[in-house]
Amino acid sequence: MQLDAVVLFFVLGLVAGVLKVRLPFPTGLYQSLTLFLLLAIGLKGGAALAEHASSRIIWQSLLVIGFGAALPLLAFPLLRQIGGLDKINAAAIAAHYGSVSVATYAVAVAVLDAAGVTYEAYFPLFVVLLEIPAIIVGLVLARGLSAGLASRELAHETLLSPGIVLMVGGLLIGAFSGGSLIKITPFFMDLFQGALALFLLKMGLITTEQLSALKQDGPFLAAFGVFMPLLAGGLGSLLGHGLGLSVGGVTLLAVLGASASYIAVPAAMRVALPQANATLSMAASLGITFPFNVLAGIPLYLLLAQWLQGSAVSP
Amino acid sequence: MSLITRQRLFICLVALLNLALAATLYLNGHAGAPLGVIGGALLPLAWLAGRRPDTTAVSAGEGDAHAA
Repeated sequence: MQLDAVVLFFVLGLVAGVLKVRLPFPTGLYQSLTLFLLLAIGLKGGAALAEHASSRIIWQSLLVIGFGAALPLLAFPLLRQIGGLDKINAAAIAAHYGSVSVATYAVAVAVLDAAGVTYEAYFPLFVVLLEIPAIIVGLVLARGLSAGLASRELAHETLLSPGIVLMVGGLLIGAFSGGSLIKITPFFMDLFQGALALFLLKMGLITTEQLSALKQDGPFLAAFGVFMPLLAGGLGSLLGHGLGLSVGGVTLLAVLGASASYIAVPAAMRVALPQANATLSMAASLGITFPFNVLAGIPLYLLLAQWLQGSAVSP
Repeated sequence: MSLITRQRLFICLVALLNLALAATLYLNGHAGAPLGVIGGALLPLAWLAGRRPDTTAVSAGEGDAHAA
Protein backbone atom coordinates (compact mmCIF):
# COMPACT_ATOMS: atom_id res chain seq x y z
CA MET A 1 0.00 0.00 0.00
CA GLN A 2 1.34 3.42 -0.96
CA LEU A 3 0.32 6.61 0.80
CA ASP A 4 0.80 10.07 -0.64
CA ALA A 5 3.94 11.80 0.69
CA VAL A 6 1.91 14.83 1.75
CA VAL A 7 -0.50 12.62 3.73
CA LEU A 8 2.45 10.91 5.41
CA PHE A 9 3.51 14.28 6.84
CA PHE A 10 0.10 14.38 8.54
CA VAL A 11 0.70 10.87 9.92
CA LEU A 12 4.11 12.03 11.21
CA GLY A 13 2.40 14.92 13.01
CA LEU A 14 -0.16 12.51 14.51
CA VAL A 15 2.57 10.15 15.73
CA ALA A 16 4.59 13.03 17.18
CA GLY A 17 1.47 14.36 18.91
CA VAL A 18 0.53 10.97 20.38
CA LEU A 19 4.10 10.45 21.61
CA LYS A 20 4.02 14.00 23.05
CA VAL A 21 7.14 15.02 21.12
CA ARG A 22 7.78 18.73 21.58
CA LEU A 23 8.18 19.74 17.93
CA PRO A 24 9.15 23.41 17.72
CA PHE A 25 6.59 24.57 15.17
CA PRO A 26 6.25 28.37 15.43
CA THR A 27 2.71 29.76 15.38
CA GLY A 28 3.84 32.39 12.89
CA LEU A 29 4.97 29.68 10.47
CA TYR A 30 1.60 27.92 10.75
CA GLN A 31 -0.20 31.20 10.05
CA SER A 32 2.12 31.97 7.13
CA LEU A 33 1.53 28.52 5.62
CA THR A 34 -2.25 28.99 5.98
CA LEU A 35 -2.03 32.36 4.23
CA PHE A 36 0.18 30.90 1.49
CA LEU A 37 -2.15 27.93 0.83
CA LEU A 38 -5.30 30.07 0.70
CA LEU A 39 -3.71 32.51 -1.72
CA ALA A 40 -2.18 29.77 -3.88
CA ILE A 41 -5.50 27.91 -4.18
CA GLY A 42 -7.27 31.17 -5.04
CA LEU A 43 -4.67 32.15 -7.66
CA LYS A 44 -4.83 28.76 -9.33
CA GLY A 45 -8.62 28.88 -9.46
CA GLY A 46 -8.66 32.47 -10.71
CA ALA A 47 -6.33 31.66 -13.58
CA ALA A 48 -8.57 28.71 -14.51
CA LEU A 49 -11.71 30.85 -14.25
CA ALA A 50 -10.24 33.40 -16.68
CA GLU A 51 -9.57 30.58 -19.12
CA HIS A 52 -12.82 28.61 -18.80
CA ALA A 53 -15.44 31.21 -17.77
CA SER A 54 -18.85 30.13 -19.08
CA SER A 55 -22.54 30.24 -18.17
CA ARG A 56 -22.27 26.57 -17.21
CA ILE A 57 -20.21 27.55 -14.18
CA ILE A 58 -22.99 29.87 -12.97
CA TRP A 59 -25.68 27.20 -12.68
CA GLN A 60 -23.17 24.73 -11.32
CA SER A 61 -22.32 27.31 -8.66
CA LEU A 62 -25.99 27.78 -7.73
CA LEU A 63 -26.45 24.04 -7.24
CA VAL A 64 -23.24 23.85 -5.20
CA ILE A 65 -24.53 26.66 -2.93
CA GLY A 66 -27.79 24.73 -2.49
CA PHE A 67 -25.76 21.63 -1.60
CA GLY A 68 -23.84 23.59 1.04
CA ALA A 69 -27.08 24.88 2.54
CA ALA A 70 -28.64 21.41 2.64
CA LEU A 71 -25.82 19.69 4.55
CA PRO A 72 -26.48 21.36 7.94
CA LEU A 73 -30.14 20.40 7.55
CA LEU A 74 -29.05 16.75 7.39
CA ALA A 75 -26.60 17.05 10.28
CA PHE A 76 -28.89 18.99 12.65
CA PRO A 77 -31.57 16.30 13.26
CA LEU A 78 -28.87 13.67 13.80
CA LEU A 79 -27.18 15.83 16.42
CA ARG A 80 -30.49 16.63 18.13
CA GLN A 81 -32.30 13.29 17.98
CA ILE A 82 -29.41 10.84 18.35
CA GLY A 83 -26.71 13.02 19.89
CA GLY A 84 -29.13 14.62 22.33
CA LEU A 85 -27.38 17.96 21.92
CA ASP A 86 -29.15 21.21 22.65
CA LYS A 87 -30.33 23.39 19.76
CA ILE A 88 -27.43 25.87 19.92
CA ASN A 89 -24.64 23.28 19.94
CA ALA A 90 -26.37 21.12 17.33
CA ALA A 91 -26.76 24.14 15.02
CA ALA A 92 -23.13 25.21 15.54
CA ILE A 93 -21.77 21.73 14.75
CA ALA A 94 -24.15 21.40 11.79
CA ALA A 95 -22.78 24.68 10.39
CA HIS A 96 -19.23 23.32 10.64
CA TYR A 97 -20.23 20.24 8.64
CA GLY A 98 -22.00 22.24 5.94
CA SER A 99 -18.95 24.39 5.34
CA VAL A 100 -15.63 23.21 3.91
CA SER A 101 -12.04 22.58 4.96
CA VAL A 102 -9.50 24.17 2.64
CA ALA A 103 -6.76 21.89 3.98
CA THR A 104 -8.77 18.77 3.09
CA TYR A 105 -9.37 20.23 -0.35
CA ALA A 106 -5.64 20.91 -0.76
CA VAL A 107 -4.80 17.32 0.21
CA ALA A 108 -7.37 16.01 -2.28
CA VAL A 109 -5.84 18.15 -5.04
CA ALA A 110 -2.38 16.82 -4.15
CA VAL A 111 -3.68 13.22 -4.26
CA LEU A 112 -5.38 13.79 -7.63
CA ASP A 113 -2.26 15.43 -9.05
CA ALA A 114 -0.11 12.53 -7.84
CA ALA A 115 -2.53 10.03 -9.39
CA GLY A 116 -2.63 11.98 -12.66
CA VAL A 117 -6.40 12.53 -12.39
CA THR A 118 -7.61 15.74 -14.03
CA TYR A 119 -10.28 17.98 -12.53
CA GLU A 120 -12.06 21.26 -13.28
CA ALA A 121 -9.44 23.87 -12.39
CA TYR A 122 -12.07 26.44 -11.33
CA PHE A 123 -12.91 24.40 -8.21
CA PRO A 124 -11.52 27.03 -5.79
CA LEU A 125 -14.61 29.06 -6.75
CA PHE A 126 -16.77 26.29 -5.25
CA VAL A 127 -14.57 26.23 -2.14
CA VAL A 128 -15.30 29.92 -1.58
CA LEU A 129 -19.00 29.52 -2.35
CA LEU A 130 -19.37 26.62 0.09
CA GLU A 131 -17.88 28.53 3.01
CA ILE A 132 -20.86 30.80 3.63
CA PRO A 133 -24.33 29.16 3.17
CA ALA A 134 -23.85 26.68 6.02
CA ILE A 135 -23.09 29.49 8.47
CA ILE A 136 -26.37 31.22 7.60
CA VAL A 137 -28.36 27.95 7.79
CA GLY A 138 -26.69 27.14 11.12
CA LEU A 139 -27.76 30.50 12.52
CA VAL A 140 -31.30 30.06 11.28
CA LEU A 141 -31.43 26.62 12.91
CA ALA A 142 -30.22 28.08 16.20
CA ARG A 143 -32.15 31.33 16.30
CA GLY A 144 -34.94 31.11 13.76
CA LEU A 145 -35.45 32.86 10.46
CA SER A 146 -35.13 36.37 11.85
CA ALA A 147 -31.47 35.86 12.77
CA GLY A 148 -29.84 35.69 9.35
CA LEU A 149 -26.87 38.03 9.16
CA ALA A 150 -28.68 40.75 11.07
CA SER A 151 -25.69 41.67 13.21
CA ARG A 152 -23.14 43.84 11.44
CA GLU A 153 -20.30 42.21 13.34
CA LEU A 154 -21.52 38.78 12.31
CA ALA A 155 -21.88 39.77 8.67
CA HIS A 156 -18.32 41.06 8.82
CA GLU A 157 -17.01 37.85 10.41
CA THR A 158 -18.87 35.70 7.90
CA LEU A 159 -18.39 37.52 4.64
CA LEU A 160 -15.03 39.13 5.35
CA SER A 161 -13.29 36.38 7.30
CA PRO A 162 -9.55 36.23 6.51
CA GLY A 163 -9.93 32.89 4.75
CA ILE A 164 -12.63 34.16 2.41
CA VAL A 165 -10.84 37.45 1.72
CA LEU A 166 -7.58 35.66 0.87
CA MET A 167 -9.22 33.09 -1.38
CA VAL A 168 -11.47 35.58 -3.15
CA GLY A 169 -8.49 37.95 -3.44
CA GLY A 170 -6.39 35.15 -4.95
CA LEU A 171 -9.23 34.27 -7.33
CA LEU A 172 -9.52 37.87 -8.54
CA ILE A 173 -5.76 38.33 -8.89
CA GLY A 174 -5.52 35.04 -10.77
CA ALA A 175 -8.45 35.97 -13.02
CA PHE A 176 -7.34 39.49 -13.90
CA SER A 177 -3.55 39.34 -13.91
CA GLY A 178 -3.32 37.59 -17.26
CA GLY A 179 0.17 36.63 -18.38
CA SER A 180 1.88 38.49 -15.53
CA LEU A 181 0.78 35.70 -13.17
CA ILE A 182 3.74 33.70 -14.42
CA LYS A 183 6.06 35.99 -12.42
CA ILE A 184 4.76 34.61 -9.11
CA THR A 185 4.09 31.06 -10.31
CA PRO A 186 7.45 29.62 -9.09
CA PHE A 187 6.64 30.74 -5.55
CA PHE A 188 2.93 29.99 -5.30
CA MET A 189 2.62 26.92 -7.54
CA ASP A 190 5.98 25.13 -7.44
CA LEU A 191 6.30 25.35 -3.65
CA PHE A 192 2.67 24.41 -3.01
CA GLN A 193 3.22 20.72 -2.21
CA GLY A 194 6.11 21.39 0.16
CA ALA A 195 4.17 24.08 2.02
CA LEU A 196 1.15 21.76 2.25
CA ALA A 197 3.34 18.98 3.68
CA LEU A 198 4.64 21.29 6.42
CA PHE A 199 1.13 22.56 7.11
CA LEU A 200 -0.14 18.98 7.50
CA LEU A 201 2.66 18.16 9.92
CA LYS A 202 1.29 20.90 12.17
CA MET A 203 -2.29 19.73 11.54
CA GLY A 204 -1.32 16.27 12.80
CA LEU A 205 -0.07 17.83 16.02
CA ILE A 206 -3.23 19.93 16.41
CA THR A 207 -5.47 16.91 15.76
CA THR A 208 -4.02 14.99 18.70
CA GLU A 209 -4.65 18.03 20.94
CA GLN A 210 -8.30 18.15 19.85
CA LEU A 211 -8.89 14.44 20.45
CA SER A 212 -8.47 14.87 24.18
CA ALA A 213 -11.48 17.20 24.16
CA LEU A 214 -13.76 14.36 23.04
CA LYS A 215 -14.63 13.11 26.49
CA GLN A 216 -18.19 14.00 27.37
CA ASP A 217 -19.95 13.35 24.06
CA GLY A 218 -16.95 11.51 22.60
CA PRO A 219 -18.40 8.21 21.39
CA PHE A 220 -21.35 9.79 19.61
CA LEU A 221 -19.32 12.65 18.13
CA ALA A 222 -16.64 10.23 16.93
CA ALA A 223 -19.28 8.21 15.07
CA PHE A 224 -20.92 11.39 13.79
CA GLY A 225 -17.55 12.71 12.61
CA VAL A 226 -17.11 9.55 10.54
CA PHE A 227 -20.71 9.21 9.35
CA MET A 228 -21.22 12.78 8.09
CA PRO A 229 -18.30 12.72 5.63
CA LEU A 230 -19.50 9.39 4.24
CA LEU A 231 -23.04 10.73 3.81
CA ALA A 232 -22.05 14.16 2.48
CA GLY A 233 -19.25 12.71 0.35
CA GLY A 234 -21.70 10.29 -1.23
CA LEU A 235 -24.19 13.08 -1.92
CA GLY A 236 -21.40 15.30 -3.27
CA SER A 237 -20.34 12.53 -5.62
CA LEU A 238 -23.89 12.15 -6.91
CA LEU A 239 -24.23 15.92 -7.38
CA GLY A 240 -20.89 16.10 -9.19
CA HIS A 241 -21.93 13.22 -11.41
CA GLY A 242 -25.24 14.96 -12.13
CA LEU A 243 -23.42 18.21 -12.95
CA GLY A 244 -21.38 16.37 -15.54
CA LEU A 245 -18.04 16.93 -13.81
CA SER A 246 -14.94 14.89 -14.58
CA VAL A 247 -13.74 12.06 -12.30
CA GLY A 248 -11.46 14.54 -10.51
CA GLY A 249 -14.31 17.06 -10.25
CA VAL A 250 -16.70 14.50 -8.77
CA THR A 251 -13.99 13.53 -6.26
CA LEU A 252 -13.38 17.14 -5.27
CA LEU A 253 -17.09 17.91 -4.83
CA ALA A 254 -17.35 14.80 -2.63
CA VAL A 255 -14.37 16.04 -0.62
CA LEU A 256 -15.89 19.51 -0.25
CA GLY A 257 -19.15 17.97 0.96
CA ALA A 258 -17.37 15.57 3.29
CA SER A 259 -15.02 18.09 4.86
CA ALA A 260 -15.89 20.21 7.88
CA SER A 261 -14.72 23.74 8.50
CA TYR A 262 -12.38 24.56 11.36
CA ILE A 263 -11.26 28.06 10.40
CA ALA A 264 -14.07 30.18 8.91
CA VAL A 265 -17.07 28.74 10.78
CA PRO A 266 -15.54 28.78 14.29
CA ALA A 267 -14.73 32.46 13.82
CA ALA A 268 -18.29 33.23 12.74
CA MET A 269 -19.81 31.09 15.50
CA ARG A 270 -17.76 32.85 18.16
CA VAL A 271 -19.62 36.01 17.24
CA ALA A 272 -23.02 34.56 16.36
CA LEU A 273 -23.45 31.82 18.95
CA PRO A 274 -21.04 32.59 21.78
CA GLN A 275 -22.93 30.21 24.07
CA ALA A 276 -22.09 27.24 21.81
CA ASN A 277 -19.31 24.95 23.02
CA ALA A 278 -16.58 25.54 20.42
CA THR A 279 -14.56 22.59 21.73
CA LEU A 280 -17.24 20.11 20.62
CA SER A 281 -17.29 21.42 17.05
CA MET A 282 -13.53 21.66 16.76
CA ALA A 283 -12.92 18.23 18.26
CA ALA A 284 -15.36 16.62 15.84
CA SER A 285 -14.29 18.51 12.71
CA LEU A 286 -10.55 18.63 13.36
CA GLY A 287 -10.06 15.63 15.64
CA ILE A 288 -12.22 13.13 13.75
CA THR A 289 -13.43 14.27 10.34
CA PHE A 290 -10.21 15.84 9.05
CA PRO A 291 -8.02 12.77 9.73
CA PHE A 292 -10.81 10.47 8.50
CA ASN A 293 -10.96 12.30 5.19
CA VAL A 294 -7.19 12.52 4.77
CA LEU A 295 -6.46 8.88 5.63
CA ALA A 296 -9.53 7.02 4.38
CA GLY A 297 -12.09 9.35 2.81
CA ILE A 298 -10.25 10.88 -0.16
CA PRO A 299 -9.18 7.54 -1.71
CA LEU A 300 -12.73 6.26 -1.16
CA TYR A 301 -14.31 9.29 -2.88
CA LEU A 302 -11.90 8.89 -5.80
CA LEU A 303 -12.92 5.24 -6.21
CA LEU A 304 -16.59 6.21 -5.94
CA ALA A 305 -16.12 8.89 -8.61
CA GLN A 306 -14.35 6.43 -10.90
CA TRP A 307 -17.15 3.90 -10.35
CA LEU A 308 -19.87 6.50 -11.00
CA GLN A 309 -18.18 7.71 -14.16
CA GLY A 310 -17.61 4.18 -15.34
CA SER A 311 -13.88 4.74 -15.75
CA ALA A 312 -11.21 2.20 -14.94
CA VAL A 313 -10.89 1.68 -11.18
CA SER A 314 -7.28 0.72 -10.69
CA PRO A 315 -6.48 -1.26 -7.52
CA MET B 1 -36.04 4.23 22.95
CA SER B 2 -33.65 6.00 25.30
CA LEU B 3 -31.01 8.43 24.10
CA ILE B 4 -28.15 6.11 25.07
CA THR B 5 -29.70 3.21 23.16
CA ARG B 6 -30.11 5.44 20.09
CA GLN B 7 -26.48 6.54 20.36
CA ARG B 8 -25.25 2.96 20.73
CA LEU B 9 -27.27 1.83 17.72
CA PHE B 10 -25.96 4.76 15.68
CA ILE B 11 -22.34 4.05 16.62
CA CYS B 12 -22.77 0.35 15.77
CA LEU B 13 -24.36 1.28 12.45
CA VAL B 14 -21.47 3.59 11.52
CA ALA B 15 -18.92 0.97 12.60
CA LEU B 16 -20.61 -1.70 10.50
CA LEU B 17 -20.86 0.68 7.55
CA ASN B 18 -17.10 1.26 7.70
CA LEU B 19 -16.39 -2.45 8.05
CA ALA B 20 -18.67 -3.23 5.11
CA LEU B 21 -16.96 -0.58 2.97
CA ALA B 22 -13.56 -1.92 4.00
CA ALA B 23 -14.56 -5.46 3.06
CA THR B 24 -15.94 -4.30 -0.29
CA LEU B 25 -12.73 -2.41 -1.07
CA TYR B 26 -10.56 -5.35 0.00
CA LEU B 27 -12.52 -7.84 -2.07
CA ASN B 28 -12.13 -5.59 -5.11
CA GLY B 29 -8.37 -5.35 -4.69
CA HIS B 30 -8.20 -1.92 -3.03
CA ALA B 31 -6.79 -0.79 0.31
CA GLY B 32 -9.60 -1.29 2.80
CA ALA B 33 -7.42 -1.29 5.91
CA PRO B 34 -7.98 2.37 6.98
CA LEU B 35 -11.77 2.00 6.93
CA GLY B 36 -11.50 -1.39 8.62
CA VAL B 37 -9.41 0.04 11.43
CA ILE B 38 -11.85 2.96 11.88
CA GLY B 39 -14.84 0.59 11.92
CA GLY B 40 -13.08 -1.67 14.40
CA ALA B 41 -12.20 1.29 16.63
CA LEU B 42 -15.80 2.54 16.64
CA LEU B 43 -17.36 -0.71 17.85
CA PRO B 44 -16.06 -0.51 21.44
CA LEU B 45 -17.17 3.14 21.55
CA ALA B 46 -20.78 1.94 21.40
CA TRP B 47 -20.21 0.37 24.80
CA LEU B 48 -18.67 3.59 26.11
CA ALA B 49 -21.59 5.78 24.98
CA GLY B 50 -23.47 7.26 27.89
CA ARG B 51 -20.77 6.49 30.41
CA ARG B 52 -19.29 9.44 32.25
CA PRO B 53 -15.74 10.01 30.97
CA ASP B 54 -14.05 10.40 34.33
CA THR B 55 -15.87 7.52 36.00
CA THR B 56 -14.16 4.17 35.87
CA ALA B 57 -16.05 0.90 36.15
CA VAL B 58 -14.79 0.46 39.71
CA SER B 59 -15.79 3.92 40.89
CA ALA B 60 -19.17 3.60 39.16
CA GLY B 61 -19.77 0.46 41.13
CA GLU B 62 -18.82 2.23 44.32
CA GLY B 63 -21.16 5.07 43.48
CA ASP B 64 -24.04 2.66 43.11
CA ALA B 65 -23.20 1.07 46.43
CA HIS B 66 -23.28 4.45 48.16
CA ALA B 67 -26.61 5.23 46.55
CA ALA B 68 -27.99 1.94 47.72
